[in-house]
Amino acid sequence: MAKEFFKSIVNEWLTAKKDKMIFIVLFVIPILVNMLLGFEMSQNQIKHIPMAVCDMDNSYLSRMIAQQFAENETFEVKYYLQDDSRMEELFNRNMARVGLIIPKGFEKDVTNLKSPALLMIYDGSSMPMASAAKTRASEILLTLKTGILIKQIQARLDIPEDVAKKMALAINFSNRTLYNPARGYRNFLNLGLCAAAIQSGMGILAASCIRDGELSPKRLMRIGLVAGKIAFYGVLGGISLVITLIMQNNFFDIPFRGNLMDAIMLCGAFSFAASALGVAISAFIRNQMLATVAAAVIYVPDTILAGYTWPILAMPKFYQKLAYFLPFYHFADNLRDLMLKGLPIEYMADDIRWFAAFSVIAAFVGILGSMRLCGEKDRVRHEESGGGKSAVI
Amino acid sequence: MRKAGAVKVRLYSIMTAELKSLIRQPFTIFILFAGPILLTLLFGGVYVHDYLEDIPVAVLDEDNSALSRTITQYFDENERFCIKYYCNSTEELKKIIDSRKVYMGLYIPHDFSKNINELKPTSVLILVDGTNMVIGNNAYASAASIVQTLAAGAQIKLLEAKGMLPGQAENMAMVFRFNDRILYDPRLTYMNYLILGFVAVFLQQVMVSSLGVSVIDNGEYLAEGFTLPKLIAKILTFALFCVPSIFASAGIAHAVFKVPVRGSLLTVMLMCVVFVFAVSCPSVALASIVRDKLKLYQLSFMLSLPTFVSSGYVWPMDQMPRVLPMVIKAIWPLAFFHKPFADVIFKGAPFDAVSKNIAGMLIYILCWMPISILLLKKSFKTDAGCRSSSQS
Repeated sequence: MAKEFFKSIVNEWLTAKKDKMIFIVLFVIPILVNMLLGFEMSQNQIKHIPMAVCDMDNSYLSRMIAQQFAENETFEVKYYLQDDSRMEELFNRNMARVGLIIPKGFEKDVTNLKSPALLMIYDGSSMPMASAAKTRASEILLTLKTGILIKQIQARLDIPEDVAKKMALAINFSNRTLYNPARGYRNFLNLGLCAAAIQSGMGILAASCIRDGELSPKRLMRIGLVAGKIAFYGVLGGISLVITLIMQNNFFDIPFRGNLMDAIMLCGAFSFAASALGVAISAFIRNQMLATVAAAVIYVPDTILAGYTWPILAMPKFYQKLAYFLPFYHFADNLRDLMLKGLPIEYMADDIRWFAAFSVIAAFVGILGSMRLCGEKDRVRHEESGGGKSAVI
Repeated sequence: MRKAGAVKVRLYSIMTAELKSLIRQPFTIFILFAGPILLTLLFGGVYVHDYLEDIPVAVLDEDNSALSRTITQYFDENERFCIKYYCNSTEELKKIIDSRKVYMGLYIPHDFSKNINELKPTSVLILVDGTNMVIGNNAYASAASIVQTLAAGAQIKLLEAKGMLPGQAENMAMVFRFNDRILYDPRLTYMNYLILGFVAVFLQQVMVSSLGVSVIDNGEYLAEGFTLPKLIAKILTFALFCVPSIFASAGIAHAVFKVPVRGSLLTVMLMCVVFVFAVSCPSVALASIVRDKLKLYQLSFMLSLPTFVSSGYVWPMDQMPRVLPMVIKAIWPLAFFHKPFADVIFKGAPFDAVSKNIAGMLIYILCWMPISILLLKKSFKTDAGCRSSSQS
């Protein structure tokens, strides 16, 4: 069996060397995805969002508000409008993504304590821009509001500035965004997307890896064959994952706060589970094209189905249950925890156990599947013993 | 005149032959037509609850006063949050955030209430786990909104205590207001944001894989002459199945998942057809290079993620380094189609807002189609030549 195991690995290695596809899928494409994502999101945060300002008040206060937006790097005030009639057209044509409308008499109403309102408009069709703009605009306007309030309190109650300040900031809230303080998209997306590309590669390749010609007539020997395939793709996938983490950390400034050995263990456990599932598919779906489609349907959408972006807790129950059976679900958040939070592997013990159990079950299913197959050697023997006569005739 | 008529007859006969050939391949038809529809249903289901509710929160209330309990209650009663743990120390609070049992922590320090009454500096600390930005941003935005309400209430009370009339105090605390208006998608939902983008990628995927396989199957026939018309006939035949499927998928997004359809469907149709031709170029080129159906499938599925994330849908094109969008558009046509396709349907963007993208796709086709045909001829003509010489 051990002989069959090593033979299986050697065979796969020779195939990889011969037609290069395995290296392209497991290393070249993931490295390209790494670089693409790294360069694409090198800015990390959304900046210079095109903005239109319609200042109908044209007072000192309204100009100050517009100025605050113009000076903030999140926004780029591209249009100053006399009235708001053109605003919608600018949004429809993607020329502006944020709009600010300051009504006539705004400053006068502030002074007279009439609590006027200004209007912020966001393009909801581009969520990253709308979210970034909304957060930053709220911060700017709240700061301005507090400043004006302090002045009003000071003037109207005739009290010193520090007392007015304490009254204006009666309940002071501070907030800290842990592990990703700049709320950068790179930290949020890159690791998982790169890992998903590697996982897809492992799954797609493993799904067509059991070839008829390799099946030993002694069915028990096929345990070695299946184990060898799982080990081959598991090890290569694990290496590719670790390369990804190192690349993202060294070239694109993604924090690597955890331990490298822990990362290797986590990546290894995950890639064995992903590889075992792929091999099991290969053992059961003998049409290679169909097996590849099946693997693609299971692996490619995992960043979505496993809750990497849109969280599991917001999904319907069916998807929550489905996600539990996806290796990526047990990997992606742990990867973030390891890289961004620096948590040790002990925190991930439950998921590591899950990977082990899943790998064993998937391998067992794969072995069962391989045992029911009729290999080329079986067929030849069958034909030699006369079973193929009718076909020949 | 007679020549033009002959070409027409030839084209018609090629198209008919292609259609007959495709009808005999139920698996390809299933991929082309049913693939996008089933995937739309699968992916759409993920975002069916488009609002993030009950984010688990941990509270460390060291003050334990009426005010601190009011603050906690505000968070607990907000549909966005669900207080799951009450901690006894900052270490416990941090540990519970680290272990992903909660995504936000609320820390109210000792003598918080007393310090406010005495106008001494004090603050409530909100700790947000930023590792998942979707949860982090939603938690932060809702917490900020609760905080503003609470702070305004406290300011009003303090102003009234200083002798101001209630209405006056309220107007002073709300010295000015800012209202938000979010166009096209007031709730900023993931469903509206993503599902049409997925549909566009499904069109790409089914075309690249199915057309590529077909090119490998019929490589010699395509390479032996009259290649461009044969290829156009093949692409149009495939488009007959996948473009209606894309419309059906968008219809499902609208009818089942309530995604608004605001734009001109004629513009969408034109964009889809042009894109089908554009994405056929890399498909033919890849098929000609790998010449193996399995490898083509593997490559096409592997390309779905990088093409999706580089098309400007997830991360806007104008936020990328300046050269990158040009390189991306020169290599792969999805960037011309992806966001504009969603913009026309969802925003109702007019034709002239997307005409540059259609022109971009046409230029892409003019550049890449000859290259693809050259690769196809180079790759398959040798086989065709060998076969004919061996036959003779």
